[in-house]
Amino acid sequence: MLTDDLKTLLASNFAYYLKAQMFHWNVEGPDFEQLHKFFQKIYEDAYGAVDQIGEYIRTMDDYAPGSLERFSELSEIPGQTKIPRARLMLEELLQDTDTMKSIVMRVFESAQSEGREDIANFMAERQSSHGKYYWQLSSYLKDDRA
Amino acid sequence: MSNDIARILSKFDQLNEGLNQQQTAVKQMPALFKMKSQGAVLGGDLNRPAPSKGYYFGGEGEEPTVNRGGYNRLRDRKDYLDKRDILFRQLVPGIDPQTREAIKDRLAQLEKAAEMSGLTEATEDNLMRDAVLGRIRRGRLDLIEKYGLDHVLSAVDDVTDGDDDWYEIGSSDVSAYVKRVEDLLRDHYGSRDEVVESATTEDVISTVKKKLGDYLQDIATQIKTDPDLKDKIPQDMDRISPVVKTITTDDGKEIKIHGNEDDGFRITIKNKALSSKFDNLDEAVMACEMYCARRRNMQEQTSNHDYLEER
Repeated sequence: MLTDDLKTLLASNFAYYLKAQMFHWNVEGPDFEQLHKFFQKIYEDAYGAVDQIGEYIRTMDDYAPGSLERFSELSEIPGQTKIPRARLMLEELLQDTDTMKSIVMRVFESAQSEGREDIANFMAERQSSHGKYYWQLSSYLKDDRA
Repeated sequence: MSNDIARILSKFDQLNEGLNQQQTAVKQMPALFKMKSQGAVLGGDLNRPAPSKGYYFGGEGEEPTVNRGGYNRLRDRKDYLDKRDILFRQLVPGIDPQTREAIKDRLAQLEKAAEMSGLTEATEDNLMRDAVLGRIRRGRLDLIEKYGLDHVLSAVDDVTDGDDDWYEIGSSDVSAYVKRVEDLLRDHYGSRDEVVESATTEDVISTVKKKLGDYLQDIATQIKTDPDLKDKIPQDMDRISPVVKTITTDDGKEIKIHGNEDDGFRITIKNKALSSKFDNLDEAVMACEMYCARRRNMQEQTSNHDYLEER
């Protein structure tokens, strides 16, 4: 169902935003400045979508979850309790960005099937963002091209 | 020889004026008078009158104002009563049986000696009071032991007060009065069994504990505060309390736990004691295990730089 997919997207998007911000705080190494700013762009972009997704749930005449407990239940993005080194942060975010792309695609298809073109359009925009960051993250990890 | 001027002037007066009226009132022996010997030798007259008879000192003359024999008897009786009093007061609740028997023996000896000297004859105006006291002293020392001598005497006074016109006192009369004394003491101070039982179990134990605890606390305080003793506190924990458990870390270090349930448990590593004290052995062991686990994690982290602990 579209609302269920939206709730999953909402929780996952929040977890993705939180992880990116945690990496922004804790990144270390010679590429600190670049990665510190790069992670900031990722989490600001993800946070900007949280409110819109929540309101779309309300337009479906359903309630939007808003607790860490519920987000933990719904999210498909795993949390990170440790502090990876910089490269591992990039690798992990790369994998999570790929997961976000899958979730967004699922919502897009649900929205289309239920005739919610506004939600489908919004999902298209999110797909574009996640695609861009996926490209940038994977580029950072190509050492053999350095 | 005194050089006091007053005395010197007085002697001048004597020389000039002779003895005064006071000095001439009684017959006095000469200053250099020598008493003749009255030793019992063959042919000696033992009936010869005392040479100082009639004189102020040594003579029979006037009757003395103090009956020396009576005075001595009063003094001896007081002595006997004081000693008896001291022994009675040693009969306190909770006294151990051996000591009680020793006190009874001494009382019996004292009574016997006093009886032979005639010191135990009744001098009280109240014969019943005396009889009751005698019965208690001879056969009811338990009352003195339980209630104390003062309370027993007070109770006897209360019971026998004004009851002093006895012509003949029988054994059963005395028994009845002793029973009344016991009832009075029980009403005022509680039943014998309760007091004796609590005295032999709770009070004695708590007293012993309190005294022992106070003693130990004083020792501990003295050790802590006395600057001379503080320096002598052994640093080696093994000499303070034995090791009850040893835990070995992954890198071979030995963590020792010292102490006991009463004093608590302390942890030492390389003979250095931690300031923390644990109430029981389980907590101390848990602390050691947590320490070992943390060391293990830290070592893992230092060897693996990919992921660090946030907390």
